[in-house]
Amino acid sequence: MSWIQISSPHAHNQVTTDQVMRQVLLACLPGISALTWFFGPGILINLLFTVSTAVAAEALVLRLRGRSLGLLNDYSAVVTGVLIGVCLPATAPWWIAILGSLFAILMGKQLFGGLGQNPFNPAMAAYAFLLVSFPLQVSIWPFPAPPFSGSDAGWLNSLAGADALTGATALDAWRNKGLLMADEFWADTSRLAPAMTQAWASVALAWLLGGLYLIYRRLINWQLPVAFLSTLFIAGAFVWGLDTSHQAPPWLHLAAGSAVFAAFFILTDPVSGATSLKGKICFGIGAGLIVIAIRTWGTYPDGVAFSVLLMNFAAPALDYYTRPRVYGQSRAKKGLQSKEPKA
Amino acid sequence: MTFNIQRANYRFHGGIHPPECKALSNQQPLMMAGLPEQVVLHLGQRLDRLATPVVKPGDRVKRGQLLATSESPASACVHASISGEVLAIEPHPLPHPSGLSLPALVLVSDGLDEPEESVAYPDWPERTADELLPLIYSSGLAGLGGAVFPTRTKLAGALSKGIDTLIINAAECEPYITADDVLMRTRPQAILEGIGLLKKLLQPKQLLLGIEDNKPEALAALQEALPASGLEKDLQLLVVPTLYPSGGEKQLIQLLTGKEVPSGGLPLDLGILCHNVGTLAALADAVVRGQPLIERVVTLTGQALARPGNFRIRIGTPMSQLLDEAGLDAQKAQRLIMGGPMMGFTLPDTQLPITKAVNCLLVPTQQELPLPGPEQPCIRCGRCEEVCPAQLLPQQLYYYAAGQAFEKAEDQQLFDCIECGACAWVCPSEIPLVHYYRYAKDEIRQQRDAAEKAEQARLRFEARQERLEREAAEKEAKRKARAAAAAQANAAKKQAEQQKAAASTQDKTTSTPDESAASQAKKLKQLKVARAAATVAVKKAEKGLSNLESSADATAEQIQEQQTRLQAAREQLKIAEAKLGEAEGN
Repeated sequence: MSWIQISSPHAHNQVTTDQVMRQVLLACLPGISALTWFFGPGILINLLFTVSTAVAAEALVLRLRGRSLGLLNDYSAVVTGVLIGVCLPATAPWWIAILGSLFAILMGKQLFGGLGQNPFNPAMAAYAFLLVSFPLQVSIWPFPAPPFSGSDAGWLNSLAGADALTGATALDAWRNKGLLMADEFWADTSRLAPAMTQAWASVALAWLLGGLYLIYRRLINWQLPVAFLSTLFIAGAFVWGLDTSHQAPPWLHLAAGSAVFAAFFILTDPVSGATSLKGKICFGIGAGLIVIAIRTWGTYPDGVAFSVLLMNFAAPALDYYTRPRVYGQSRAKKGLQSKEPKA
Repeated sequence: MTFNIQRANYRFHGGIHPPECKALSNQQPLMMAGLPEQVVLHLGQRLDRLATPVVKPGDRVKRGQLLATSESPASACVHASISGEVLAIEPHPLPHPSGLSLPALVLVSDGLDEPEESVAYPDWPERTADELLPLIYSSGLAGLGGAVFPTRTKLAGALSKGIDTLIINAAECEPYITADDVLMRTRPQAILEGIGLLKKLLQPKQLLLGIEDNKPEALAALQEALPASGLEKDLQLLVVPTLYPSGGEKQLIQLLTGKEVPSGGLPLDLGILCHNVGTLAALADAVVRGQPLIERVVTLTGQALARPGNFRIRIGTPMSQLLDEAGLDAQKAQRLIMGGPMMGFTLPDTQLPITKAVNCLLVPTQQELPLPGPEQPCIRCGRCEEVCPAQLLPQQLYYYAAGQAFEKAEDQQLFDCIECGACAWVCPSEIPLVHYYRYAKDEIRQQRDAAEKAEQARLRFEARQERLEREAAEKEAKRKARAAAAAQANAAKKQAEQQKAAASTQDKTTSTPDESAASQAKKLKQLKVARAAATVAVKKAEKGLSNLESSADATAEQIQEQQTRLQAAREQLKIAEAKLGEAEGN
């Protein structure tokens, strides 16, 4: 009889890329649910647009490149679509969702060669593109109105035709507070409704839940999110300590905006991040510092997307300088010195 | 007695937990395989390291008889594993990924299994190293963990360098393989005898045995046999967690001692010698029972076998016979793996012989070890890096190997990869990572060979150019020397003639003084010419010498030659001057 000849190892743990991607989608569910609860089904409609556009764009490019459409089964386009979708306000127009998805798949991913080749996080590249091109459409969020809350029926009203109210997010309101002192700002609920802050904090907790699931399933490591969030808190506390009456308190950096979501779902993107554990920690610290810098001195209220893109730029250099010490070597190799003097 | 058993204190980076599948083969006692009708015994594992046969086709041999011997310590002696007749010495394919055919002795059994008279030292503790070592060296021992490195080479190295620590590798971390496990359960005293022998020969400061915690029966058997062996105080049994590849030599050393074998170095550099339990039992058999390495324990396993288990198998037995004995179902079988599922390699057919390197034959079904799916793009998820026991960055190695950026791959310490396969096992994109690393290593080795050859060619060419130039220079120098000598000879001849003439004229001068004065003047002139010629010759010789001295290519002989030439010319000049002075004095 003839025997098959293949190279070792002959065993495999049977975990495949599409399973990894499906787990990530599963981990997104708490965050998506929380967003939908507070901001209405617009989130789901956005997701419908972003995911279908992402998959269609991916299929189109695979076709153009003469690749098998079977590659769609890796679910990576779906994940990209979901990650853009959850960044968009529930009230964003439909074409924003489609444009964002197209940009992510075409410019962010496939132009570089598809899955595994993109130097930038496609979702963040697309979000930054939208933020620069259509700042209004992507920064105005509806006022949080969970169903069955208080006297009215929450966002269920808007389904019946009523216009949804919009309100500034915590970071937006903080950015636009002008010369107001911190205590005056908090006292003025017309600037920032406590409900808004609470809603975003709840959403952040939901993302944390999904993130913990990812860590539990060992799909991401805990060091990177912890490095990012603790940098955010420590650097935020430092800036706040310089001027407590004008700077945002450190907890706001964590509870408001997309910090927690980004910590577990965006920074941990392996393709565009640093590769070694040390590199990942540096990546998280760097991203945290840039976020605080943008939020404190920049013109954008959040800044996570830009900080991730900037750190994506830095990732190859981080990879060169954060290589682990290999077994049997006296020390870790660093930098670009590629050749040792040969005897 | 539990004080001998401890948990290992250290750990290594990464590692994986593949399904062990050991129960398939370790539930049965160690069995004897049937006596083969014919065996094929390879003279070595490498073409440049073959033993020399001392028998010829047609010779009758007994079991254990020396068939091939070797002066080189890098190849092991070969012994008859059955009694019978030497049928032929001819090339046979090796069970090796290369599929290489090497010369082998083919023996046909006479069915008697008649043993050869042999030397044995059951009283080995009283014997000296000088008595024991020749026996060990000639018993054909090789590392039975799979690498078949000749034991005599390892031992000789340890003896000359001296060791602090003897590590006994009983980890057996590869899934499916239970040969060492069952050997420890069945023959713990033989293993301990082997350890005692090495302790006597090498005098290490500590004896450490590393065993994975999934072999409690083997550990208990060793512990039970320990008091009788007299090693109770010396041997430490260290239990390491079940984590592939804890049985890799480098990983086990790290687990037990916390030390790392330097890159490109040997455990001996740390004063450590590492031996597999199977090798130690074989060592004891060789010394205590006088039986050279003619059999070994092999695990026959996989769900395509009806009767899997561990067998004592004569070296050279055809695999097909063993697989039949174990109940191979050819319909279910999907591939034949020599070794385990992580580092073993597939064999093309079952007609190959069992060599000293075979520790396991694995015949899985398709459901058991499914063929890998199509390779998907690397998403740099980093799982490979988490599990790499060498703490490499497998994703970067893959990136550079696939992109043929071999220099960068080398810079990422490609050659510290032990090819354990942990990275490929976890890879969610099912990339055959180890395959890429082997390919890159091969390419780099070939490039190195080519570069070395080119360098040698360059050196050869330069040496030839130099030789040609030197020869041309020598020829030129000789020509000049000849010319100078001829000129001198001419001058000397003329001088002689003139002297003759002068002598004859002098005779006449008495009669004709005018004539004599004229001839005197002529003679003086001639002598002056001769002196001038000699001066020129000296100067020429001097110049030649200084040229030679300043040139880098000149050999010592050349300079010597030129110096003698100068000396001769100077003497000529002296003579010429003396004659001239004499003539002028007249």
